[in-house]
Amino acid sequence: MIIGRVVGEIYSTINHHFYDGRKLLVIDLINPDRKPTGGYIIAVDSVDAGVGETVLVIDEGNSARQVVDDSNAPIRSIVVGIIDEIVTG
Amino acid sequence: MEETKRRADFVQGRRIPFSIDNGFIMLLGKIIGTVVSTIKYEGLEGVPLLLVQPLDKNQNPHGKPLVACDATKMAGPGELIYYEGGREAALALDPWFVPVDHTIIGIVDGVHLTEEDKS
Repeated sequence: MIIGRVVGEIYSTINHHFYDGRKLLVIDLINPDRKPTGGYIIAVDSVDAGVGETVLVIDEGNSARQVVDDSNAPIRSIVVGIIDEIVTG
Repeated sequence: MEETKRRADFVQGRRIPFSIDNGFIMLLGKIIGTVVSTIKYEGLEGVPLLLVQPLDKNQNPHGKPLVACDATKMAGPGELIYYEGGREAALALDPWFVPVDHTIIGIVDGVHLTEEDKS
């Protein structure tokens, strides 16, 4: 799992039918100290995350398909949590 | 550029195997051309092949162009799309057990970024 910060949303009408009605988020990858690493990822939302929130993202297909409960879904990246706090030692 | 690439590859002290730089995640792209192939592996007949330039979140080109299958069957040159990479790319197609590594999942109508992130 990776941590990121939601910086935007993507709108699309013509898409694979699995993506109908699903929210797509643009997520900046961040370090534990919340500094952006320079990379980004597009992920499907499953927890109603919004712009500005720090989120937990799974970038692995089998886990993502378990979350959406569809074994044939063409999905790989999914937001599975909203992070309240990151504590580093 | 080189610095960004190195930082993007490491998060929480470990290398992300699928990063913006090797393309195996869902990212934005712009279609820059079409690819025509008549002799293809079985299962890939009728699947459009398009040349895609990966983009960063501000829609600037980032990385090398790649060839992707089109699951929407509607995308054309000049359009902004998002694509999936890895094993999941094959799942978007019908039949789905086909040898592909990138598939266009949807055509983007709009990307809404917060003001502070548009730089």
